[in-house]
Amino acid sequence: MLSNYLKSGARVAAACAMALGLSTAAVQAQDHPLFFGWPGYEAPELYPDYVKKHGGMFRFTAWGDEEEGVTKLQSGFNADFLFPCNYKIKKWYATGRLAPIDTSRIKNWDKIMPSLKKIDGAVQDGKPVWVPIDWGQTSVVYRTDLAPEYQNKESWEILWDRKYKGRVAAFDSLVDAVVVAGLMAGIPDMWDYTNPADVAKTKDKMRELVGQVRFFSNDPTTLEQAIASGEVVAATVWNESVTRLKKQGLPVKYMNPKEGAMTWVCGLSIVKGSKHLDKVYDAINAMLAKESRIWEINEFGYGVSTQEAFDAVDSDLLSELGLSKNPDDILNAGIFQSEIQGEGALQEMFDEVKAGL
Amino acid sequence: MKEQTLHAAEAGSPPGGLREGVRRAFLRHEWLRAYTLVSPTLILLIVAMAAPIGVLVGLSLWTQSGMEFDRTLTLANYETFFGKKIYPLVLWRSIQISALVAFATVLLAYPLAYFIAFHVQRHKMVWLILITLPFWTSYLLRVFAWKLILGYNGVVNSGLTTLGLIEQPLEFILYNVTAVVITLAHAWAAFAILPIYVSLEKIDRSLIDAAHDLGEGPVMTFLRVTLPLSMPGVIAATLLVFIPTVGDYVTPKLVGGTTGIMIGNLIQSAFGRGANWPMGAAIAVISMLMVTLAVCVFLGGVKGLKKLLA
Repeated sequence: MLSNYLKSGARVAAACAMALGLSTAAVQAQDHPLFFGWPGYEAPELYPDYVKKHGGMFRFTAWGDEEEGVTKLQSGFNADFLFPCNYKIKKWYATGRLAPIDTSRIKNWDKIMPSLKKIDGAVQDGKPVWVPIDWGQTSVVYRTDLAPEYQNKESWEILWDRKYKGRVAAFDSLVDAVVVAGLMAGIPDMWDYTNPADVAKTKDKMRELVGQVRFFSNDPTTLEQAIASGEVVAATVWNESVTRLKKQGLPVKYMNPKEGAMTWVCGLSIVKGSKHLDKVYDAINAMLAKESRIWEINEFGYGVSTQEAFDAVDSDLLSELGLSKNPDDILNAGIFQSEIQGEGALQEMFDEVKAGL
Repeated sequence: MKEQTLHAAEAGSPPGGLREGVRRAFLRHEWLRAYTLVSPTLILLIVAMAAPIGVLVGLSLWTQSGMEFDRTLTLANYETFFGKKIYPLVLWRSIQISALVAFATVLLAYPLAYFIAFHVQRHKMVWLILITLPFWTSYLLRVFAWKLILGYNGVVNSGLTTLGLIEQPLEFILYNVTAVVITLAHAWAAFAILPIYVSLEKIDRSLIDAAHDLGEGPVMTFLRVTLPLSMPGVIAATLLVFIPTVGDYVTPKLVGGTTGIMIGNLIQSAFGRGANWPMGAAIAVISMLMVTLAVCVFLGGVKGLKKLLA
């Protein structure tokens, strides 16, 4: 009887100890800033200096897409730093929650390529609010064994090819997918949808696309798996997916469409009133460090914002990844993603075509 | 002097007097006792249900202008809802899908509940726990599991290919309305099985014996005795599955493909990247009203059916 009591007592004590242990772990996590950004950027290898200095990673939350991220921050989500891309900085800034960045606290600020620092929106009211980190493309990856004919005529047209009806996939996003319909519909400016006639033209093209695609998704893994299994022959992806698919040894090629691939630059911004400002700067410094930038080139296949990292990577590898030491070569060759004008109308149109209208 | 203090003491002793008063009121009024008893639930319902619905209705009367709310009260969002084809169409489609899900779930759940109630003699508890087993994993995982089963290289397709029944994987089983119905019907199965089980379990077995004694066969006994007596469970199950699935948005997003979107996706889109909260609130309010209406129609139909049969 007594021993039973003792046993259950010990069990309760053990449970309490576990609960305490959990709560201290939770408290420790609270000591780190929260990074709110694109999925995949929670890899500790991107922040070796931070992990070394603080003995652990900061907290991370991924957004579904950047537009959703803006709304979440605006409605009071408490992140400490963010990962906006060039075409969206102004919108992030309009929430009134971006803090000016003290560049004297960023060790590698002078090593960042000057052309990237000057990107539209990066400086607001005379102060930088955005630190360029990486750049890359949005284009189509396709299986060279399943759609070999496209090797000689690389084009976004593959998404609309009747032959591959139900065998293509695309991003569930305005900036990475819907604007391509605008481009292919031949409207005067694929970033401007303030004219209802342009929206209508894009809608026709989009309706065709909805009939073509197997699914829309923003999740790189979902898109990669569909390509890998042969469920789809072509899909819109970012460079990182192609790098990973090639590592699996799959016969895939990243298109350089005759209409141009889309290009973008992403970077870090700090949220006003962060309680972990020192650690946020530590994280930014860790991400700009040479080691981190080299890792990103190798693993994600993205271009990075510091010249020193490029100089440290074999130029054969760079050309294999489709990169160049001079980012302007790539950024100017493609279609540079810009802020979408008339975004509301475009989103409404996207919802409508998905509903079958 | 002494008398005065006594009076003062009497008048100035609110704790005792108050306590006494409350006690008397308690004894005298039954409604007070009842309200006190339900007050924790009542307060929770007001704070967590009534207040948010109030906020939602209020929000739906504002409009979005850029990043700010325009706080002039207007029915503009409701006009947009009925002015644009997409909203009524998708809401109607969601109600149809959920009705189909509820029907399929109840149809599949009934035999199982019947089996446990009438044919399982021992370890009934184990059976019931086994039914809730899928609920031990996350909802999201269950949806993903269906993606694996129905997928291009999934269990169904690779199974059929191995058997030599098909050469190319079937593509029509994932990313459409059917996939949404299958996934939801599985995910909500326990919500249908348990209420039906409870109402079947409660049926007095002597009634069934009586039906047999009076010469009814097994089919007629089921139709005229068992089924009518288990109707409360069937109705509860239908409502428990129908109401929450109308607003579901994760399942259509993951397995619905391009054509399986539901009203929940539009609400999410309005609150998310559409950045139009008042519109989202209006869609939510209208869906709530329509679901209520659909439930009333259903209950009315059941009542009418009962009268017809009686």
